[in-house]
Amino acid sequence: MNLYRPFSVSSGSNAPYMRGFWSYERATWATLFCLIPPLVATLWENGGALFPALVLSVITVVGWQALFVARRKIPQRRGVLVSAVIFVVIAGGDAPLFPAVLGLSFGIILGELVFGGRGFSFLNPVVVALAFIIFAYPTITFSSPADWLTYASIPGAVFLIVSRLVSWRMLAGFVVSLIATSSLFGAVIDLGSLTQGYFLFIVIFLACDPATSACTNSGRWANGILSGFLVCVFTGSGGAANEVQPLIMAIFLGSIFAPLIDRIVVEINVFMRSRRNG
Amino acid sequence: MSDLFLSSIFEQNLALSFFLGICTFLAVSQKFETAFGLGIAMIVVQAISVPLNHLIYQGLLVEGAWAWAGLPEIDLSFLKLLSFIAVIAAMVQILEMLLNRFVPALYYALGIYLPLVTVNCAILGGSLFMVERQYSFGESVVYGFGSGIGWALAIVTFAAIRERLKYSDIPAGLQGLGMAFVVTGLMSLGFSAFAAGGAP
Repeated sequence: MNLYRPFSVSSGSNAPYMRGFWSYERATWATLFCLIPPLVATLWENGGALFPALVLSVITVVGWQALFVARRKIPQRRGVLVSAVIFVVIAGGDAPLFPAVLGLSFGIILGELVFGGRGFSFLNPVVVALAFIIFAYPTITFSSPADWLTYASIPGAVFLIVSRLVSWRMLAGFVVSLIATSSLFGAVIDLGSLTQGYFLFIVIFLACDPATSACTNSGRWANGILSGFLVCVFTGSGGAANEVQPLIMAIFLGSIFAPLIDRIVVEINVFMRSRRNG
Repeated sequence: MSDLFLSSIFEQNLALSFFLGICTFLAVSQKFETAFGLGIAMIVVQAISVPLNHLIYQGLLVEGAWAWAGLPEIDLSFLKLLSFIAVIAAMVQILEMLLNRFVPALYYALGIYLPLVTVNCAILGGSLFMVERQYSFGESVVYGFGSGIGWALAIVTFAAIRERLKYSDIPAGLQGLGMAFVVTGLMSLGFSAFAAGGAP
């Protein structure tokens, strides 16, 4: 059984395919605009100290993509800019330049370009890059941003959900599971942290990434529930849910299990239909 | 016990933390169905062979096991590799006959890889870990079952990812096994979050 379109359909200059009004280009532009407020908020907070990191990150992702475009003939995409901006907002102020460039290179190459670019991979390159930094440089700690990163993320979050570029099911599953797990095990997590720091930004732009989360509706619920549960597990008792490390590792594992979740959903659907229709 | 069960599935996943049984892991993960079948076979073999080996080791091989016969100084533990392999081989043989009789479709789908479970290092590794970590009988039951589930979970997840990547635009030199290694590495990076004790 094949869940996915054959390569002859999925390749070509229009890939990856999206239905309706949204094309890949339009979706990328929309996401970039949604990222402007968080980026400006972050640049403002750091007083311009982030510009070297921003420039280096953009050069890194554009450079690696240019190499792959030249050698492998994959289509030139602006989606890598989205990755660079998200990476800078999360890690730009905390990771020194060399680990940042190394991590981002690892993420963008092994997390995305080697699979043929965005939409062909099963992991978000920023998540891979941050996981790389978390394990390769355990001394780097991610300091909490000012609260207006959350406020700055709200317009983008609302737009992405209303325009259905991001699945509300994934978001709802994530938050509901986080709150439910936390309350079931006796307030493991300080729920006030959901409205502070990186939480909304990371969940909207990384956890709900449509290319790396489940692609069936029930699968999205399951994927969000799994990731939210893992955040609780990794945070441990009394922690805050807006720490970068547990969030990123939970999203990483959520993406790893997303194809399996989809597969199980489809198997269940096939079984139910065959029972209903004989 | 539940700690041991969970850690044997996630934190100490035989495939993704110890890279045991990788030969079968890479070879039989092209199709989800086959991977699922092999995963079930692994759970069954592991869940039976670890406790069985525990009984044999404690009852016959360990130093002092023959004390009841008036031979307290006899230490046959150097035979553990040999006897473990024999037990596993017999187990797999029986499983193969049962599958051939009752689930022939799975038997033919698994093909050569079912006999290969005999020499799967995850199976032997499970029994050797059981000895090394001095598990009690109850613990060996839990460990055998848990580590089997962990390995099965790993290969099923891996097969689902590989099916998804079937139509990715992967460089010619990396297609097939090369990309399988890359994906295994990335999965292992994700699973190391469990090993880091929750707070990486």
